[in-house]
Amino acid sequence: MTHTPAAPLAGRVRHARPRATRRGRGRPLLYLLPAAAVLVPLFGYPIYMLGLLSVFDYRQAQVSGGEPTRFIGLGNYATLFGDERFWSILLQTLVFAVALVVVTLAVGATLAVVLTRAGRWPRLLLSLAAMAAWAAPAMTGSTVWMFLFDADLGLVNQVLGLDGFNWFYDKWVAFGVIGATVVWHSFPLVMVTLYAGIQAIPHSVREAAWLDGASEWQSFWRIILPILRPLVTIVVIQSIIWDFKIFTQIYVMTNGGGIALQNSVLNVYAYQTAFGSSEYGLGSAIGVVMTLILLVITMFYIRALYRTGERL
Amino acid sequence: MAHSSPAPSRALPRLKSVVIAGSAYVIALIFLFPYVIMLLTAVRPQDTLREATYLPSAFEWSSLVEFWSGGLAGNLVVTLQVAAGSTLLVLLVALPAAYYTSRHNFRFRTGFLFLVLITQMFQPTAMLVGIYREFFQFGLVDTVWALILVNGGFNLAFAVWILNAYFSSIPRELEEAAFIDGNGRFGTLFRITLPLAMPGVVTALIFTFIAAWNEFAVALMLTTTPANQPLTVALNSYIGQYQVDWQGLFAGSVIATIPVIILFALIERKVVNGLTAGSIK
Repeated sequence: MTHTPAAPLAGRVRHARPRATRRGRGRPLLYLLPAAAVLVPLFGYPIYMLGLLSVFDYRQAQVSGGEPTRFIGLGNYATLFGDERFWSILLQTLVFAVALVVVTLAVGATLAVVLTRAGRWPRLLLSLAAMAAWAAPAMTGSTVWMFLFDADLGLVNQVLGLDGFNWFYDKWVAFGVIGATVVWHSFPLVMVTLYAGIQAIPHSVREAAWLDGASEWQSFWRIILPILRPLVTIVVIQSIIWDFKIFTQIYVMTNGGGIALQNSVLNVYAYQTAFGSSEYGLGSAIGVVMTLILLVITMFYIRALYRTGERL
Repeated sequence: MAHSSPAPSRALPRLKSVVIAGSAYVIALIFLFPYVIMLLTAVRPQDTLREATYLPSAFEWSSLVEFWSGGLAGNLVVTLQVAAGSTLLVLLVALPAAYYTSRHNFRFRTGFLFLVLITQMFQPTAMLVGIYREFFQFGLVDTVWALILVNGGFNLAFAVWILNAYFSSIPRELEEAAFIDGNGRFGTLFRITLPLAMPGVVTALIFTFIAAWNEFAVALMLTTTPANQPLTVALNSYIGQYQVDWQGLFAGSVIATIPVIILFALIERKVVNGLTAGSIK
């Protein structure tokens, strides 16, 4: 084994799949260290604090020094799991996230295909609309949609003739309006990524499918999607994660979670518990639960990927 | 190949392409509609909001002027610094990591990619107490640097993964051929690999820039001095507890969004060009 650093690529021509070589041992550090240098301090200590606070009785009194910080073990978790509100918020977080992921992916993928099929001007306008939605800060996007659905001033009520109908009173109607806002914000990423992917597929492949008589529907499911699997993977993971920890839209549009937190999701609930009620320990426990759920979802997804033989 | 004309127009019957174009227009207009409302409300006098007219009866441009005189220009600069700084940080750090992990099989490769992915599971809102304490130790609270670091860190995972996917999709044979043709290691990297991965780089770039530009919750907690706040937080002050200054809010929103749309419009063409010029044929 006399690999010289000067000829790594030439040597690789013969080996179909290179193994880890002895020579390359120090090199990963050089390439990966910058990323580690950003991630480790930025996540290490705050995660440590998150776990630590979740097993302590840590409220306003402890922050101001009025009462001693007390270790209560899993006390915060016990409080949480005994609270009916926690379970209902957990359930609606999951339902809302799944609905958002499905709708976002459907809208994004459909529009990506439409983009490849549309002519110059509709494509330009559609791209512009997507860019505009993407570019809008979640905060301002939320306020525009809130204004559109405003009971007194909103255009939606004006057009539909629903005078004074409050879209944010009923829990699921409110979720619908918030969901539309979230999808408006999040479909562009799916659309742009998949469109870029479709464009990168060699013309000859699509041509062959067309010559073989494949329909649009077939060529999407049988050709485009399998080729783009790595990209689709990322887009799906991203959508799940984002839609699960949605915050700004709910916080802004329902004024912090709605009447009695009826439109709250775990993220808003954690924030409200920690910073609204100064229950930092309990809020951290919610944060831990939420993080664990996301970890489980991701693990399932990664396992599914391995089963399909996808190289990570 | 006899068919050198663009595939779609040839492959579709006329009616179908009309339907596609028509629906593309309709969808685009629906998605653009909130912007129309934002613009109209920004120039509609606040006291005429209740008039049931679709178009304002009078225009009031003062709100757009007040944006600059009211000091929000400084917040716009903060937002720009944060977005540009985080994007630069992410690209500098993510590119080598993504390239290396796509090209080499080493012992901690999978572990590294997992760890990067796992950072995505955490949401800054849940970790704010720790983040605040850490930055406080280093005297970074209420500075642009804190926001650059947080936004960079929380967007790094996506950049690493998308760049890794793009690098992996580039056939190794291309690099080998270029290397054999006498390009050096760096020549191969900069003349072959990076140009081919450009759409991925641009996607990562846009993504990070926009995410940092739009970030709200962390900046709300980490910046306390009005002059140090990014635009999203500064605009939040227009939303009062009992009354919303819709006009001022939307005037600010319009100005906050215009630079991003221009950037997008410029880059979008690059994405498509990069793809068509450098596609793997």
